[in-house]
Amino acid sequence: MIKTLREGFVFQRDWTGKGERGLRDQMLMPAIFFGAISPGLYITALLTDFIPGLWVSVVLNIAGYGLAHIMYLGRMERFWRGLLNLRHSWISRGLLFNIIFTISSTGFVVLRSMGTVADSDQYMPVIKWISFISSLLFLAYPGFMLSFVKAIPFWHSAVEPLLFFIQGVLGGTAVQLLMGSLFRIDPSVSAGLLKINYLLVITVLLIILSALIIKSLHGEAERASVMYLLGIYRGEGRLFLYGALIGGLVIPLLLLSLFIFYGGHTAVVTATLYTALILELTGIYFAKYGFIRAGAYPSDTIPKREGV
Amino acid sequence: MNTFIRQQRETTCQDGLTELRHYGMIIDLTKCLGCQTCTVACKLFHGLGPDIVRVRVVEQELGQYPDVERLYIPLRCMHCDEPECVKACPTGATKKRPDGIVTIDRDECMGCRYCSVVCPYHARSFIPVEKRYFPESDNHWEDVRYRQHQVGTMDKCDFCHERIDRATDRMLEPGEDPEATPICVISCIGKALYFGDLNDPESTVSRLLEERESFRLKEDLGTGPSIYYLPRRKRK
Repeated sequence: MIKTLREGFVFQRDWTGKGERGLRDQMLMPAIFFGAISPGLYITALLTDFIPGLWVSVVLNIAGYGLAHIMYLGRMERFWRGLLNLRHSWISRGLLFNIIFTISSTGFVVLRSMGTVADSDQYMPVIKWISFISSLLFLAYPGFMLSFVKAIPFWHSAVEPLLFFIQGVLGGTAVQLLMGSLFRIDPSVSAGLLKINYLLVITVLLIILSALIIKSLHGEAERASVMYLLGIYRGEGRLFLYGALIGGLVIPLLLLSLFIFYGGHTAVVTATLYTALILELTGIYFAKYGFIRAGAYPSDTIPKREGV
Repeated sequence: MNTFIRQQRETTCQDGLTELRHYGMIIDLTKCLGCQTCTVACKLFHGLGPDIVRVRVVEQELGQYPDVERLYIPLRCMHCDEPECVKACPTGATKKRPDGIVTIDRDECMGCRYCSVVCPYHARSFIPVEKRYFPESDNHWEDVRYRQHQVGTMDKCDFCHERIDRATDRMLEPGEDPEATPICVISCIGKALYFGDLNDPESTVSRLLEERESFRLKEDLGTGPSIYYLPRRKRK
């Protein structure tokens, strides 16, 4: 603590994934990752009518997000209590969005998979729209959850909801394009998704870089967060620098540029595409981990103006 | 103010429009020795196991060599007027009482730790596993006391509200009568801690705030802490 006061900031320790409960403490990051990929994939699959993608999204949501998040809680049997402060708490809202998304998306996917009988049902458009809107809300809620935290200036900005939202859609397009190797996707849809994916990679890269530059110009705690992410602070944040920024965005951008502008359907080109998409997904994981891990509080030092 | 008169006034104000009491604490940094008696007394009184800290005293170095001095700053839950933890808590386990004390209902907490993340004062501890100071020995005290704190929930300072509640029923005045005062305040060997009703102009805490210059931590966040610090007096 003495060192902390000297440094003028302290990194948050509650959501680091480290703790004495072992695996349970590590469940938060997978939950946040799948909590982005699942609704992102659902949105892209719904808009392109890709049923296998809808199924994978539902499975990722229930197994990847739901179970992991419940396992992370200190008292998992009380998870339902998380709905009791919808008025103020973003966790409550997130839980509500997730429940609506889980029920509506599962219902829609099951009915949609049943074929034409379900298509004629007058309730299908309603379920479809509920699942679509709840997936949008569910996708953005972790960003709002972080931006609510006034105590951590690095998080307390409008960037987080936007970034988390776009990262989710980016992940969704990446998973759907990867699934194209196993399931048949219309080539025109695939090409469209690839262009969207390419634009989203550029957008995320620009958002992250501008956020890092702007935040590095502010207070000491924000600078510490940026330094952490760039691996300058004790080298701890290199996962973000190499895993998310370079490996997860810059390299995929170069590979996708080669694929889009020089094209081709050889095995090497396809392998390049899949490599880029897998790197994108790992990059999203490391970016989320880095942003959460880098949250730093200004220290408890007494204001200088008090002249103590 | 006479306790009897105050309680009469509170009875007449039960329409909810007026909350007369607002408990707060004043910490005199000139008097704090950094002895950690408050930390230990709190742990002992509340039966807190390892890693659970409600009150801690941090050290800060001030000035440049050779004109250097060390300052001790007791930190704890600030019982804010606008507590971020209450807004963030998804279960409603963290509550703010009408008298300003922020409490946790352990039976409602689900252990998501969002309250701890949003707290600017790092005032909360998570109880991850059951730990003991003396795990090898058959320690009845640890058996009984640690069981009161549920594993997987949060813990923080609650101004020893059970002492306050019990004592006010017996017409004792919190901050004046030791039985109705938080254990850290009555155990402080430097008399650096003061507790009382900030809304009562005649209470010790109100008078001190009127007489001395004071400040609160991280006021710019708008949380409105109920803990005030009296700055260290300049050495002559």
